[in-house]
Amino acid sequence: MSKASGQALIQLQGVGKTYRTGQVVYQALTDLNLEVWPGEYVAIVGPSGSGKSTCMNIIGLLDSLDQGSYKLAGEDVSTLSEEAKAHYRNRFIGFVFQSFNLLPDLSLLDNVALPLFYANVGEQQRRAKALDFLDQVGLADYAWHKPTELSGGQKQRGAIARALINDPALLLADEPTGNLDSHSAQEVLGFFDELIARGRTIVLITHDESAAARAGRRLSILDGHIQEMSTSDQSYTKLDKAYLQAGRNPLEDIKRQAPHE
Amino acid sequence: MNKLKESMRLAFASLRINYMRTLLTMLGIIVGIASVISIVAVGQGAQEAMLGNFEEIGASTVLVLPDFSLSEKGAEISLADVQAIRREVANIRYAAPLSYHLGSAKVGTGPSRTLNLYGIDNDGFNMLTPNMQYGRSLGPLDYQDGLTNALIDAYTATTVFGDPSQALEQDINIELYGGSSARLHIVGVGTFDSLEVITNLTTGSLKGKEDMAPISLFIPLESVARITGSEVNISILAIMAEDPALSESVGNRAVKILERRHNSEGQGAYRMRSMSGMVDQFTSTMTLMAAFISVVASISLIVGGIGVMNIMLVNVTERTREIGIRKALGATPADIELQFLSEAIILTSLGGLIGLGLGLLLAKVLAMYLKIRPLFSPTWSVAALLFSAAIGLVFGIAPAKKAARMHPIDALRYE
Repeated sequence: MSKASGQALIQLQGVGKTYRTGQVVYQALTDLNLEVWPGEYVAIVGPSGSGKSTCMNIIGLLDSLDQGSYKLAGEDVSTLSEEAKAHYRNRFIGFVFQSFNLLPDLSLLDNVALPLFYANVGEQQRRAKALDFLDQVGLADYAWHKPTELSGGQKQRGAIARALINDPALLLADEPTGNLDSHSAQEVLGFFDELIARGRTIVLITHDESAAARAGRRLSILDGHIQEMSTSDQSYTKLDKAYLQAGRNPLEDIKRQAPHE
Repeated sequence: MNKLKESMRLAFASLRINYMRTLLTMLGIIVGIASVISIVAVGQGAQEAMLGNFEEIGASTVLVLPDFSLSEKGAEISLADVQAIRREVANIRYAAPLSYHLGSAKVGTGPSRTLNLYGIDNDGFNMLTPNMQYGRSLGPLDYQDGLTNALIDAYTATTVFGDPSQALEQDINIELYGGSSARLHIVGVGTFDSLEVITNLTTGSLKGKEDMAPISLFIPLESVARITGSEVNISILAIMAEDPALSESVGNRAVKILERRHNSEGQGAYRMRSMSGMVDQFTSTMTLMAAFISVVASISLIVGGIGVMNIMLVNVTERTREIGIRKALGATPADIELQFLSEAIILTSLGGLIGLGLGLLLAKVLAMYLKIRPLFSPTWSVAALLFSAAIGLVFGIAPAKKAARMHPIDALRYE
């Protein structure tokens, strides 16, 4: 889906975010404008404290903005209720965290199935689908293991399976290779390349230059301001074709399944 | 409904993770429920036993007791008094005097044991028909000639001879407090439930003396006079009216005759107790006791509930990051609230269930000791479980709401 053909998946306009701790006021984001189109692979880089994670948290509806607006597939999600935000997070956004964030008391299978639980999918169906996704990431044999019994790379692959199980239009990855060895990191980035080839939209926060280099578009954040670093038009064309071949339109997916408030 | 079921399952799994903490948190609930269940079961069992005995004696019967502390003022009942009552009071079916004596008893070379000796007459025997298991009851000769034949209580016979049938034709040497002694010959073994109800009451009128002794023997009233070498001292007079409606008036008339004969009008030397009055008094006492225990148990349950709330708050804090992860994956505030509320309710319900089991066990043990049958009420059991669940709901709501209100990103960042 190209820029010319329609609507951005993510539209942040004039976004500002302020944190207050006692008397200290910290402006994390200032007048941030960002558009991400369906099928794009966007890497956001920047030093610590620059506002990368704050930006991602706002995109992922984990945090609220103080100024500006946020449209997700054309729908204004700036002022949604907590229930509506939870619904969006469940159906349209998949998260991959640096520290994996698997629940230690659940098996890997139940961890992967958790988004389906909150989507009211029945237990049998849930477990069957989770097993299928674990198989796709090469972890079917570890379905009943607890996360503490897995390596970092295995945990992150499990987390990716969990992030994708509800077939979200958008994948948000916050330093996904930060706690991995180089081999596991390459494995994870390889997964992302495959997802992009299948038309998924990925926004990646990373310090890892090699990871950022694989993205079609790089943005840098400094002191709460965002700026474009580079784009690749060829990447867009390739993505458009792959997505159309898959016969899917992520914008339509979101609009069809969005909660009515 | 599916989500509720799943939340319950998750709650069980979560509680299983830390057994010791779960058990300690439930303790207050367990103790509270066990107390209420056991006291209700034992109380209702005691009430049933008492009422059953009263039913055996019948609503027609009243008991007249002299206050022995006023014996110097003439508070006593003699055989002549009983004869006078039989003559002068209309509508009497039976007037049965009972003479109670404490002493010691010895079988052969065996150890000396405490003795409860009851002297009864023919009216007493007719009114309070015992259930004879071996041998015979006391006959007319036994009553007229004052023979030292005796009947023994079946339970006592078992404790002394091993088997109640072995008690027949045995001799028992007795010695009463006061120095009198005799040898009694066992001619019958039976149960004397009704007599025991009345004889239990004699311990009330003989305050200051020892508690119930393990050997109970029944002899003719005349034999008591022969053994003691003095006039029969009647401990209690049981009067059965011809009609239950007349029992109180018959009893009052008997008391007036006694007061007149002993010049003790208006001094309260004789007390009259009707069965219905005693039933009411007993029921009232049991209700008061149950209410008291329930108040104490409620305090325990409230303290237990506060403990649950405290632990759930700790739980929520410890699992802040988990809450953040669940919210990131799509859990709504209602989902999180349901999860933690389910845990609290299951925690207290489990405590209630364990308390119920423990209470039933405790009731059985207490009932065995008191020699009654515990009565287990399904209504109370269900009420106890529902109340436990309600405790979980009331004291779990605050921690659940705290968890639900957490901001996703703040929760995710928590370490």
